[in-house]
Amino acid sequence: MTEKNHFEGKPYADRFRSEQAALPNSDIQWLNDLRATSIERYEAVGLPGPKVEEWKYTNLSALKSEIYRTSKPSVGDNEKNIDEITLNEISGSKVVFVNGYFDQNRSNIIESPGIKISSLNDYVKSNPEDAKTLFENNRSKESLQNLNLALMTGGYIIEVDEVTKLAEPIQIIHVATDTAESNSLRTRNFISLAENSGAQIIERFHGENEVNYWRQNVTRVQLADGAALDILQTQTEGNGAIHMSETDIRLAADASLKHYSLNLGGKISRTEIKPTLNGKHGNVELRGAFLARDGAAHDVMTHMKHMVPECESDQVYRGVLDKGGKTAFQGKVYVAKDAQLTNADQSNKNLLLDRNAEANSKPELLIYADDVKCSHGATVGELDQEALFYLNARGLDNRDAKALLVEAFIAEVFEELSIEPVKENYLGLARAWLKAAV
Amino acid sequence: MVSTVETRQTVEKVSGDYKYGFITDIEMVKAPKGLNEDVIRFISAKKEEPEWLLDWRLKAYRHWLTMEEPEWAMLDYKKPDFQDIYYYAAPKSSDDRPKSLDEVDPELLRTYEKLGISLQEQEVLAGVAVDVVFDSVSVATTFRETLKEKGVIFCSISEAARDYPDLMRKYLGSVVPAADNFYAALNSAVFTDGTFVYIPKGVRCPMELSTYFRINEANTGQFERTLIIADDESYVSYLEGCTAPMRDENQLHAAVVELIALEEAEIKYSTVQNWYPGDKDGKGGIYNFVTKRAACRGTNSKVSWTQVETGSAITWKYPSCILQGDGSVGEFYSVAITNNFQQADTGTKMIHIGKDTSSTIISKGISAGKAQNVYRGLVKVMPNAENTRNFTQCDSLLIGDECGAHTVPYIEVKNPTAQIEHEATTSKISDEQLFYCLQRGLDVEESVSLIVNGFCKEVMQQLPMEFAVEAQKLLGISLEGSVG
Amino acid sequence: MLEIKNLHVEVGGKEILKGLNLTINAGEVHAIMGPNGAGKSTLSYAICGKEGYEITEGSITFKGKNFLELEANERAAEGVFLGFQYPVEIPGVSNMNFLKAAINSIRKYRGEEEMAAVDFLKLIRAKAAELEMDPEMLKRAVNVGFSGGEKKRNEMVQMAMLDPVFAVLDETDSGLDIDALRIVADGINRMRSPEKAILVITHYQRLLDYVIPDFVHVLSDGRIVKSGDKSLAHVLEKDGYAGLGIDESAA
Repeated sequence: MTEKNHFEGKPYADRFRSEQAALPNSDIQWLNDLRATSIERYEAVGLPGPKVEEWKYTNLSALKSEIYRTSKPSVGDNEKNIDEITLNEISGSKVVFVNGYFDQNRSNIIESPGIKISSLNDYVKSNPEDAKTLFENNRSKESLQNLNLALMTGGYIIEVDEVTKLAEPIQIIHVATDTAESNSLRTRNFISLAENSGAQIIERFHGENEVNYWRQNVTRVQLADGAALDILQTQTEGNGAIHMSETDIRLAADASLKHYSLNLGGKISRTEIKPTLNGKHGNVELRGAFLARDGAAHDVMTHMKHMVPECESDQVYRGVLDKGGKTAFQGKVYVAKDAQLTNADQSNKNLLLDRNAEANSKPELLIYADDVKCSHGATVGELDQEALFYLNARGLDNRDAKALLVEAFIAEVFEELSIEPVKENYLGLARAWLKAAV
Repeated sequence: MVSTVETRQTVEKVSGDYKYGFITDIEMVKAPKGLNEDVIRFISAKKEEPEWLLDWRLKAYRHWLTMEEPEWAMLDYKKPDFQDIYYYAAPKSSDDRPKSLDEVDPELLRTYEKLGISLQEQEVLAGVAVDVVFDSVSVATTFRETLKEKGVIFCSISEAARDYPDLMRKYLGSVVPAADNFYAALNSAVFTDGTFVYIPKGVRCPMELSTYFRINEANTGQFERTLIIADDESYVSYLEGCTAPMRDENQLHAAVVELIALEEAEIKYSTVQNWYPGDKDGKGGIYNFVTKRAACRGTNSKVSWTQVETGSAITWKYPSCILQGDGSVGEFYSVAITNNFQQADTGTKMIHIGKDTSSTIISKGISAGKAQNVYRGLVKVMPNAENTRNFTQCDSLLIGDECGAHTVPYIEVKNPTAQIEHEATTSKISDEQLFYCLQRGLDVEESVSLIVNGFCKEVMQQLPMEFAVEAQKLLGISLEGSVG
Repeated sequence: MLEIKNLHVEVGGKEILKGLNLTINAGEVHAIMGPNGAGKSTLSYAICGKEGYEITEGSITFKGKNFLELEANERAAEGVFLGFQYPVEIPGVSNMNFLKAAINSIRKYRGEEEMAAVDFLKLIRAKAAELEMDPEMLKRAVNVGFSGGEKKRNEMVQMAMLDPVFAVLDETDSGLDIDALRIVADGINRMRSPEKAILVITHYQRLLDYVIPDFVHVLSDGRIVKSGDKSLAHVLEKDGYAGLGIDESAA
């Protein structure tokens, strides 16, 4: 059975049935049951097709023509690779996933009071009741979320106690190796910050070029009263990758979230960020840049839900599209009936560098409260010719002038970022990408 | 039997200097309730249509059968039962109509009064069974003479099918194909009424063309079809609708409007839509599902849509421009007001195909009471559309905390030389603004009307003078009772 | 003309005015001074009937009428004008249209005919000229994009056009340079006549050098704590509110 406008759910359901026994913790019955119900839910709906409004700009037919096999733990050879993408200036804990599996040897989890970092598969074994509650509290109707739940191979759980503030950011590194060919890599993570605690999480998604894999990373975040979390994501998947990252964040009163992302890799990249402001004076800042070329399609979808009064949210996204690149920004701001005195802004600007590039933008406001200030702006255009000429006149050649202007266009997004190595990393990666572009 | 073939062109002067036109004087019989091929054949036969038009209708009908009513709009309503509708019905006989204004809903009369509508007009609008007095056949003749001299064709769509088959065959369905969407397909199958306009090469239509005078036909406008062709280097301004609220027994309206602008031609199409919005509890009201689309086919052609939407319980309407000709221009100026339980999902599509094309979208949505108001728009730039420009401004105003204002724009760009800008804001009438007006002596309703008119100014100033003054009053009337 | 007795006003559940008494007769100019937060603006809003300013006790009588029974616009039509401290912007509505609508509303309330368009134009041009306002400003939207001085001048033009019998000028002098201050003062002085009365609310006595008040009252913590003639303003200028034993920071 499949819902209207969806691709059939059966192929992945069949895949699940043949792989079930080999999945991690398959000796735990309640987990098997959870996986089984999840796959049923998935199968009842199927994969979203292009006629499903939210997937209008992301074509998943590649997932229909090839049925990806769930990845196996790798006995990898990627020391070098991982080292290259680690920010060594940052001394905090390091959590490494290779092909969707937690890699104990390459990780470095530093014991620190008030903070617990665990691998999902260990947590399921050692804290079954807590794990069950976590899964139960984070049910989703979305078919892809259910598919992730059914076939997840690993993930992390970060718990921060009351008032604890992390001194150093935690680095999460997801790597796909060449053994991931035709594999799906499914991780599921939970982050929970107790009252007035604070943490910064740097998350990197990386993979080998010319490897065809499907990554699906799902993260659920709970921020208690006054908690503050920064999530800083960088996506440099291989050019054959299908990348999906979905982050759902619930904010209690006075909580704040900063979510930064830079998307550079993959052939299809889908980033979903869904903050829900459930307590007064919550604050969300979303910043992101996506750069696409050579048949890559980057899709960023944000869904900001203002459920209560007096919260603020602000979104800034920039797209740069070079030859063969395609992007879509779908930003939705929802203001519930009683969420008076909401302040919600959204800005999406796109630069087209080539004839064969495409930018789509759908900034959406759904407002049910009257005493609000909401706005959005979206632009699509090419580089400012006047500015280009100005730089030419000052002696820069076209290539350098363009690179400079595009860099400035992106840099605006990361301006307020306080962790210097991350900021440098963002700009460095963007610069390298641009060098190849213009 | 007298039928449409013998539709006489009569001209009346209802009131004022510009509201001239024709009425169709026909004795009609009812087709049975419901829709099937026989009903369509009946309609076509009644209209003594050429074979090709019947085939066209049937094709549309057969396609319609395979279609589903769209659900993507943010509209919540009970879907009409399409088998419970008369698709060909005689206008109400004099016996069913009110005999005098004394029998008409006083609420309606009060609104007429506020709009400054003459008693005679009020009778016609309210459907009072009066013999319309034709003051001056000579004035009317002059009017028709003037158009004829210039070669302008302005007639009913049925007449056009008979008298101008070449133009009709060439252009009917060329902008909105018969199978375009659910409601357009339905309209294509069963349209019974409408207007045809052709402006010949190089002609600047000497007057604003208006359907306002055709108010005596208010009961048959259910499936209207309008086709306007502006030939090379011509200009026409067309006014649709009426600022006065019209009571209508038909709940479902599914009109299609097609505009074609050829080389250097310009069409200005203005609408004031004030169909019955239902009562304060959301009972009744018109379902208005309209497909309006313009093709700017010629180089430097221009189409400008201006709409003031205050009526209907449900509005589903996206007047669009297909900018094919190089240098062509599309404009959309819209005010949509929803109050009480009204719902409007309206906006535009600007499809840039030609080089150097530009479009402007100014949308002002006002939501009050328990109403929901959606702007939905698409700006699309095709790969070969060099140097296109679009500017979009969508502003929403909320009055009261039980209504909703939503903005759903789509921007799709496939050419790097495009410059697309979209801005949207949502706000409310501030207590400060209201108090400031009150302190200067304006009452609450005047204050709201003034502030809302100011909010809508950019759109209102696009309206032809004939509409502008009444439309301004209309904004205030539509929002009565929304504050305080 | 205006009689305020034992006025208690609450805003958002908090009592701001705590038993204020004030009587203003025709022909008089009164000035109310006081530190920030004393309740000066609250008094002007209470007189003019702003929503959210709840009168819990006391009375306001204007020309013998119980003002508390009238809506804000009715009070305006009775001849009360409030010069706003922060004049409000109304996008898309020209000054001209705004004033025409206001004048005709007031006339309607008084049972008078609408003003003829020609007369209106003549009048507004004359008033703009008197107050040295560029006639082009009349076509612009109400206060939109106006500088602080232009806004205040616009208030004076509105006052001249609406021809009130009683004007409350709330910090009309704040943020003005000396030229603008002179024009505002000029606007106020033009209004002085035996039939009319003016209440000037101000934090500084600067304006009172140009508009000489008959009475000066000091408002503190919701009550008038001292009244006197114009010399009181000078005392305040010299010694500050502290000289009267008022702790400005506590207010």
